[in-house]
Amino acid sequence: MLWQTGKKDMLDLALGLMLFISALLSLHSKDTMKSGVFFIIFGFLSGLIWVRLEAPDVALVEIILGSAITGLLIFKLVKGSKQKDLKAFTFTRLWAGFISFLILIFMLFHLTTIERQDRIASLVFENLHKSGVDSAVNAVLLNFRGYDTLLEVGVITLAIFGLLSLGLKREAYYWDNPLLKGFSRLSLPFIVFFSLYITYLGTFSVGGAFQGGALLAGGLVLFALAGQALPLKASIIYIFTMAGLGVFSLIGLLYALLGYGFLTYPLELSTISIMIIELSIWISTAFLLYTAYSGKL
Amino acid sequence: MIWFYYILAILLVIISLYHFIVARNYVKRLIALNILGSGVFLFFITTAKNTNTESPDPVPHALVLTGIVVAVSATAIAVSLILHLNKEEE
Amino acid sequence: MAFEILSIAFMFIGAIFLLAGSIGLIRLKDTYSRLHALTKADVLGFGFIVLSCILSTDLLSHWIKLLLVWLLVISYSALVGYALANRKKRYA
Repeated sequence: MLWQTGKKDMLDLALGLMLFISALLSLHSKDTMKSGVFFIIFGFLSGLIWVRLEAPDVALVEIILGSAITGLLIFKLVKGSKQKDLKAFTFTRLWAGFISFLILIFMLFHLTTIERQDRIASLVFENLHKSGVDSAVNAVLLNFRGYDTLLEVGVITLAIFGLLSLGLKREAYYWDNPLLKGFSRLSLPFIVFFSLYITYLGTFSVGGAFQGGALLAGGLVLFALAGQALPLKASIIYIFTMAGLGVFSLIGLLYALLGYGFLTYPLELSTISIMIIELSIWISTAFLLYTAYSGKL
Repeated sequence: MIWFYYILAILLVIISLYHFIVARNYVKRLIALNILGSGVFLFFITTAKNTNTESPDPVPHALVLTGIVVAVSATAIAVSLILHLNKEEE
Repeated sequence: MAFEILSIAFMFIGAIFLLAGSIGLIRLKDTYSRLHALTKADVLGFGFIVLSCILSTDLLSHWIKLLLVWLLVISYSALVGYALANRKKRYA
């Protein structure tokens, strides 16, 4: 049939054009509210292009985190601050244009030397059966390059520390309405269950810990947008927030003490280690991103 | 058709870099930083598609995943810093 | 074979409804009229596209997932319509 012929160039062209136009509109508009809205559209179209480029795990995280949560944070800024009207000097514009032009020339020159090769991809696919999961991206993320993921969880924890230590007393925007309250209460159990399912799905298909954590963060932010606090004790929220970094580094240290090396899973225990780490990343990413939006723990 | 996405990523990077330097207020600068990050991620994902194996290269996908989460946390702390800045001027 | 042709036809009809909703969103003058375009035409177009996706596959799990997606989108769309109308009535 028509969609099997592989002639999807029109789709590429249309998506790319819409992405470029939304980026231009976001950067050129005088009103910061319009910039925020066009940025959300840009993030959504970016996610669609990544699905087209056969990267569905990354597209999930981009649409939830990069488009929705970042858009919410930018709207928090738009509604909470005055507009500072710094007018750029002509010299700044000329210099910025010159730098951009230089980088354009450099990158176009670099484009001519790109060739079609597999860098480490064949190595990854050959060793996939030794890694404990069946999904290539999650094998790379949690087994082959697990140290990067540990440092990433550390980075987001440190960022939330910094955000909390600024001590902002301003509340996040919420809308006190019985319809939104009831709706968020109805959908939160479903979102919790579905995000756990997506986290479990990451061991053999599209999905993973960060996707599930981002989805649960979205559900929690929806709950907070209705103006209600989470019905959990503060100590439980603290445990959930620090669980990612704690469990991940404890497992790494455990394997170092047992003699295998830091974060080097033995072959039989790799699946169960990855599942424990994925659960801890799931719950801590959700609560950390919820804290990033709401500003208080 | 890969070249189209490469050129799109390069255009996103240079236009957001220009606006990052010539920004009129902090919100615009933050948005330009995020679009810069998205352009770089598009470059990575396009490079991941450009392989000889039949499924795309998973290593740039893992790097971009890390990059998105780090960009969101950087945006969160930038937002709180800007709010703090604006509050101290009142 | 017939299902595939019907699926393409439904996708075109859905695209036309979505286009009409977007034109209404841009060209209508009042917020309340724009909400009519947003919550009626857009959701109907989305429903047709979901219908075409249902017709193009024959797995029961895909049908259930697509129906869930459709239910979620229409309920969230109704909620957003109510939110916008309430805010417009209260503050303007």
